[in-house]
Amino acid sequence: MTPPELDSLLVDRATVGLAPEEAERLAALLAEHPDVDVEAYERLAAELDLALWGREERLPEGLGARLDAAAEAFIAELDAQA
Amino acid sequence: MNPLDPIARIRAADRAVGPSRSGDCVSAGDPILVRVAAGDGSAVRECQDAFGGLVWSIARRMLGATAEAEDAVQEVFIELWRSAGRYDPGRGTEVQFVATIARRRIIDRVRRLGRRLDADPLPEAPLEDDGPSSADNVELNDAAQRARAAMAELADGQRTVLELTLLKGLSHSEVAKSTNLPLGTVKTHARRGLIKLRELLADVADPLADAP
Repeated sequence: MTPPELDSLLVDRATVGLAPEEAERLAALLAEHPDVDVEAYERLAAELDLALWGREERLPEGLGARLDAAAEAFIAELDAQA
Repeated sequence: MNPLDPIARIRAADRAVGPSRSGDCVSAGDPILVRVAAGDGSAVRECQDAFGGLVWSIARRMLGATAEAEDAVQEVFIELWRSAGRYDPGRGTEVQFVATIARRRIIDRVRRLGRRLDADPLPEAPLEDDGPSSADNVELNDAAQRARAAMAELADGQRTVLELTLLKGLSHSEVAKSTNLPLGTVKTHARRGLIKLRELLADVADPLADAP
């Protein structure tokens, strides 16, 4: 069973994020409980987000071009490694 | 990197995956992220068409239609391409994987900013919304029904707090201010509500098994 403090920190991380001191405390607790699924609440939050909102919106003008450029840079990185 | 820092560990794992030319045999019918992980450049380009609208919608909802939101979207995509190898089709949909990464990055950014920007208001009745419109429509509509049913079982306070935090990215302090609830009560509602949802949804399916 997940300790309550650890559970609370994982919930906070999934919903509102953690302050640096909270992240440090979470790290310390996880070191004591290495079997805990650290992303379980994040995945649940994402599923709820998709289920309750889940809509797509058109990208603003300009952002698509930025993403295209970033994709080409990433592909060039891939090619350089090949 | 602090090896005990879970966030740093995740980031390090992502960096370790990096861009790769694995040489794995993939076909055009494979999931986009699987092809990205195999070094398929066309799949990298396809990501924007497949997931751009979803990632932008999360960013805009939490950060407003701002330059910050646009920067966040680009950051999410770079992380997606680099961590595509972590996607396991057997454990969840690509959309779930993308949404998890997007939320993590965007929540981090909201927190770094220390304040919310000009975000849009919540829909008037989010629980009665028409639901998702992504490529995984059927699956997500089932998930939406389950999630809405589970949300309906929460106490009013828990449901309100979770709508504001999960969907809007409001901090606990901001929720306390907008609802006139004490900060401690807001935190308790958020934690108990999400834990309750986890229990409720685990009875129907195991959302916690859908891992990015």
